[in-house]
Amino acid sequence: MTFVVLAFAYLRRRWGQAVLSIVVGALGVAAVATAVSGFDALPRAARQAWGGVDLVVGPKGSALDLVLCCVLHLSEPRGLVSVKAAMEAVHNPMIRTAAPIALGDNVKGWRIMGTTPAILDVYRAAIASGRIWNGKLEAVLGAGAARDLGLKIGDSFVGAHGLAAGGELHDKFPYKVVGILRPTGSALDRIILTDIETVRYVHVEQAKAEIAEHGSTDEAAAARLPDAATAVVAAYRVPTAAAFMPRRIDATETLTGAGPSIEIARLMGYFRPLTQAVTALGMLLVAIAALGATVGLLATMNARTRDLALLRALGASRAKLGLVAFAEAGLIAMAALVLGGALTFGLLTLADDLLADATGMLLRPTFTVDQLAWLLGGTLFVTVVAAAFPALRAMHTRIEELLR
Amino acid sequence: MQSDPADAVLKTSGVVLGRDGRPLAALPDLRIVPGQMVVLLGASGSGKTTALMALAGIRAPMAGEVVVDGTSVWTLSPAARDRLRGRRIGLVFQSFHLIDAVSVATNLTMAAHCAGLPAKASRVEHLLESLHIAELRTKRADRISHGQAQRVAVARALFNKPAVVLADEPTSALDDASTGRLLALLKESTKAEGAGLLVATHDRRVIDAADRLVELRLPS
Repeated sequence: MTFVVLAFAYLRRRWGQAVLSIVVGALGVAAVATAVSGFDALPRAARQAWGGVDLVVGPKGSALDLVLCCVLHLSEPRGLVSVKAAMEAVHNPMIRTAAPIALGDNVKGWRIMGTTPAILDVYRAAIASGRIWNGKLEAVLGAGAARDLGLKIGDSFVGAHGLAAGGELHDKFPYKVVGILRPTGSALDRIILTDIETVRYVHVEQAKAEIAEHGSTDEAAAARLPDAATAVVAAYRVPTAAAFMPRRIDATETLTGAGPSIEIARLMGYFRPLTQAVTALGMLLVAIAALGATVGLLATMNARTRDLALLRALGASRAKLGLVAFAEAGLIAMAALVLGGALTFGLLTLADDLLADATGMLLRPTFTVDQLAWLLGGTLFVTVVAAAFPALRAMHTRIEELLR
Repeated sequence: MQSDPADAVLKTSGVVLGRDGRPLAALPDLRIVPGQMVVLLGASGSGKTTALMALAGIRAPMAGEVVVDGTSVWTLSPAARDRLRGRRIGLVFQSFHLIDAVSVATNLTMAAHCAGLPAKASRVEHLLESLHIAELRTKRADRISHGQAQRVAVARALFNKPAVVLADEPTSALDDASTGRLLALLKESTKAEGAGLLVATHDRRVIDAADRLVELRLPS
């Protein structure tokens, strides 16, 4: 303990240098830990957001776009599909259940999704209170949407055109809340569900009004498609379906099949170089901090020859003298680890909030035992390396220095 | 002082000191018993410090035997010698050599930690009180006076209850009054702790305080 007190006292005497090493080391630890944990948490957050959806079938186009729009509900739809064609495409023994989805309206930015009750089966969702819709303009709210909009069973609301807040209100078509879902942790929590026929009804009626007022419009053109939907989402009966179904649907002329797991893995693949760069930068910062600590320790060991010789004279073994250097490096490393941990926590909490605000996905970063072991082991290794030369220098102090 | 040499805490026989492979001086055979103060006299460069190194197990003599508290110092392994020095030999240096960065109390407990002994707070209190420096306990060593530093250095040398205290030129930079105070302090405190005391010096003012004088000789 006295050696730790001594090491701390020495650090206090060169606090500027020590603080610099601690701050640089902490930044390095935070960069590495944030990159590693964030990169692990992001696909996990996406996996939670896509819930039970294994396959999404939409119009020809980018599979990633289709997943971002119709599974994670982050982007705008790129077109429409025929429900009949899409449902036929997923009519396969490998598919457990499927439901069409129709997007196009929102309530204060919360998406209204026309669908069928099968959607609950796809997401393995359940009604928490109330019931499923059984008529036009009845809505079932995802748990998050109900909470944030402050709606309860029996309340009414009107939708607005488009998927972002601020669109033209469909104020002639008020919805009534008939049910609220249990939280699923998926994107469904942020969705307002209604019957797919309701979405068509609202748009056909709105189109009729617009035609009467302005002549033909895009909305009117879309409303003329008798069984149009944004996509069909499906759940597999067997996991091996992932190897066949998207490819099989892609082979058709009009449809794209996308598996969220494949597309998100591909998306994360694009981020990997960035993550690797941040990790490398973090490691570089840790190395700079370690080098700074080594140089600082070496310089102070030279200046402390008298003290070290005294410790030898008092009976300290050479190993104990080395311990002083290790204790000093250890204190710097511990402080850097604690500060780095706090920075990591702050950064990940901020990222969690920003991601939740922007996408509704919950990052919920965690560290595995392996990751923590690597972090602690790595810190220990760097500490030992940083302290090795100063410790050797200390261990070779001669008591005669004191008696000259 | 009349004591049975069999009780000697420090014994030497036939010690020849060397420097750079050449004989430098011969140390008369010593027998120091608890409470006894022996002064080792010699001019500057005569080999006094080399003699202390040999007695403390720091640098081997060219010949002879050094026995501290019944243990032949130079038959031990280096690690065992370090341990013996830490536990059974107290050292007082010319400029006291306290560790400036830590408190007076830590300077004392450092002696125990270096020797691998428990650092008892009660021992710190006892020594600081008996040397009349209890108020310095938490003061940093670089914030105390020279006279206070002397006392702390003596307290540290006595902390592990050594068999013998070896002091190297402890009075060389002191005026007469300070020399007198330090010698009295060393003598009284070592006596109170039941340790022997060997003072290596060229300072003739020390002579009067000694129970016995020895002088380094040229090697035969």
